[in-house]
Amino acid sequence: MKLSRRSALGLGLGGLAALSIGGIGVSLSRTAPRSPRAPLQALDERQFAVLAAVADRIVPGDHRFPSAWDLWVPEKIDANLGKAEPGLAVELGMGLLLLENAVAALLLDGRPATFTRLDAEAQDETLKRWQSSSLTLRRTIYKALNGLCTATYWSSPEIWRLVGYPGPGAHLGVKELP
Amino acid sequence: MSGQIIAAETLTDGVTLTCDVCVVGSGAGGATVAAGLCEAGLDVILLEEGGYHTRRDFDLQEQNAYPMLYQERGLRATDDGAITILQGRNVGGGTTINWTTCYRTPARILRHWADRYGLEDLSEEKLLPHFEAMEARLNIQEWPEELANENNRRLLEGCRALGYQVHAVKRNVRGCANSGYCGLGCPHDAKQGMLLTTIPDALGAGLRLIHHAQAVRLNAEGAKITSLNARVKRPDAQPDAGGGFTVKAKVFVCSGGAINSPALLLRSEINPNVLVGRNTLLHPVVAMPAIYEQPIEGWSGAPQSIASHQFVDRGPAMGFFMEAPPLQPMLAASGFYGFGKMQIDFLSQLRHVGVMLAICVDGLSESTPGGTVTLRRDGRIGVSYPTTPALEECFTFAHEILARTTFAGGAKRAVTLHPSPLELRGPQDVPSLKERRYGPLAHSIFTAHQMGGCRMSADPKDGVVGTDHRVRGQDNLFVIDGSVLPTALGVNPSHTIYALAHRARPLVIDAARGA
Repeated sequence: MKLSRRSALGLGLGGLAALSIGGIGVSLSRTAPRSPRAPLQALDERQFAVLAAVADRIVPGDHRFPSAWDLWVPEKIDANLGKAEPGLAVELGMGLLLLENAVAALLLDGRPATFTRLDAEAQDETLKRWQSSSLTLRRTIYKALNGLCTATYWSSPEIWRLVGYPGPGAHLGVKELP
Repeated sequence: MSGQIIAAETLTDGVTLTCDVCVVGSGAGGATVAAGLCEAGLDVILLEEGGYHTRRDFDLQEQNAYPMLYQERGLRATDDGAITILQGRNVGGGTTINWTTCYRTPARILRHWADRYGLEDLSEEKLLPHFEAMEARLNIQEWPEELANENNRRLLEGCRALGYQVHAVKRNVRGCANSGYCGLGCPHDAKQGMLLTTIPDALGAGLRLIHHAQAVRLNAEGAKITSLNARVKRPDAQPDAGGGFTVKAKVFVCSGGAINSPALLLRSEINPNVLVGRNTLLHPVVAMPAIYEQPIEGWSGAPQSIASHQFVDRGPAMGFFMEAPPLQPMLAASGFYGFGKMQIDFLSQLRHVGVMLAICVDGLSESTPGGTVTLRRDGRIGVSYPTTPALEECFTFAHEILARTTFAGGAKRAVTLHPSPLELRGPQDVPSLKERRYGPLAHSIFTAHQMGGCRMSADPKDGVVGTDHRVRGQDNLFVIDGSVLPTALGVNPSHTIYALAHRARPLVIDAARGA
C-alpha cells in the first residue's frame, strides 16, 4: 500500500514527463490494451494497461492463489489514487509510461518493445532490472509499483482463507468469513 | 460546559471563528494540551485534518483502515520512496492507530539534551510529575509477559537464549482483549488514546473540535499571529473539493506532528534560525521475517509487548532497539521487495511467519543528522532522508543481530527484505548478510516514529522553539508535538510527547491569559 512516488524520481515532474512521453510515436499504438472493469478514477487507459501488466507479474497467482487481475488489483489501485492528492496519480502515471516506453528501453536496455508486449519472462527480467537499477528513478518506480500491487493484493479479503487468516470477525461479532 | 464536534464541510464557506487558543492537530501533543486549556476555562478550537472515527467505524480491514486513518491514505513516503512513513491522520492522530507502547524518555537522552541543547528544564526530576499524570490518565501499565503473543514470545526467547537484555513493555490500555488490531483502530475501546481520554476531557470542558480541517497558513503581523486559514479536507475527496474558513485567536499551537507542523510553518514563511524542517528524525526500521515450525498467527494478540534495548547504546555508533510488529496480511506483505512466485510461496505460510524489527536511533550524532521536510512546488509536503555511512553500518549490524535473534527464537528459515531476498537457513548463514547492500532503495525501510523538524533548544540562535515551546521570534505561537524533540529517543515516542504537552499546558494558559 505504500506508494513510493514523488519527484522521487530525482528528475521532478518536468523531467519525468519528458521521459515518459519520449518516443510516444513509437510506443503509443503498441501498448497491449487491458480494458478496465470499472470507470477509471485517476489513470488513463494506457497507464491502466501498463499497471495491469505489472500487477500480474508482481502477484501472478498460481494453482492456489488468484492473480492480481482476478482480484481487481489494478482497478482498486486506480480507485485509491482517485481519492488521493492528484499529484500522486500524475507521478505514478508518468512512471508507468516510462516503464512502457520502447524508445527508452531500446536506448538503456537494448529492448525495442513496450513492456505490455513482452512475454511474461521478459517482463520479469525487466522488473528485476528496474528493482536493482543503477538509476534511482527506476528503483523508485519499481518500489512504488511493487508496494502498491503487493499491498493491494494481500489486503483483499479473498486471500484471507488461503493464508489461514481468520479475519477480524471475532472482534466484530461476526462469525462467517467473507 | 459541553463542547462540539464539527465537520469542517458543514461550516459556512469563508466564515471566521474566534477563540482564545487554536490548536492544530489532535494527536498526543495537541489533544493533551487542549484538554488542559479547556479545563482551565479557555475557549479552545482544535483543528484536525483527518476524520472523526469511533469504534463503530473500525471494521478492522486493512484496505479500509489505512486510507481512513493514516496520512496520505497510507501512501506517505520519503521523496525517493525509500522509506514508508506510517503516520496517523484522524481525530486522535497517531494515538488512535499506534501499537500502544509507552516509555518515559530515557535518562541518557535527557542528559544529552541538557548537554547539547541546554534543556536542563527537561530533567528526569522535572518531568516526573508529568509522566505520572499521563500514566494515571492513560492507564499506562506493564503488559504481563505471559500475555505476549507468539511473535513477541519469539523475540523474548531469542534474546534470552543469546543473553540479550529483554523486557515487557508498558501499554496504555484498559480492559484490552488482546485482539491484535491496535493499528487499525481499537475494536474494543480499550486503547487509551486521545480519542477516549483527553479529547472527551476537553469536549466536556467546552472544546470545539473541527475535523476535516487542514491548517493552510498562519498569518502574522510582526511578532504576533493574528489568524489561521484552514480548508476543508475530506479524506474521500480531492483537496480542492471543499471550501475554507478562518480562525482568529489570542494564541496558536502547532501540534500536527513532526512532518505537518514544520510544513505549516514553512507555508506561513515562519522559519527561525532557518531550522524549520531540518533534522527530521524517523527511527528508521528494518525487519527480518522468518518461518517457524509452530503457528505464530502474528495478527492476534497485543502487537508489541516485548522489547530489547541490548543495542540501543553503541557508543559512537548508531544504536537500535528491537520490537515486534502486528502481522495482518497487508502489513506483513508490504515489506516484500521481491515479486512473483517467491512472494506467494513465502506469504502463503503467513500463519507461521514471525517478524522482528530493529529501530535505529538517529539524531544523536553528526553522523546521523536525519532528514528534511520541504514544500514541493505543487504544495505537497516533501520528506528527504539521505543515507549516511553510519546509518548503513547500523542497518548492516542490525540485520545480523535480527537474524541471530530470529534463529535463537526458533526460526527454521529467515529472509531479508532485499529486491532479491537472501534466504538464511540457520545461524551459519548469518555472515552472508554482509554481502548485501544496505541503505535506501536497497531493501525495505519503514518509520512509525516521526520526530524533530522544529527542534527545541535553550540557545535562541539554535532551534525553532525555546524550552517554553514558543516559536523563536513569535509572541503567541507554540509548537507542542514530536517535532520539538532535538534527537530521536531510542524508545517509542508517544509518552514523551504526552509528558511534554502536559508540562506545556500552563505555559500556553499563561500566554492566553496575558494576551
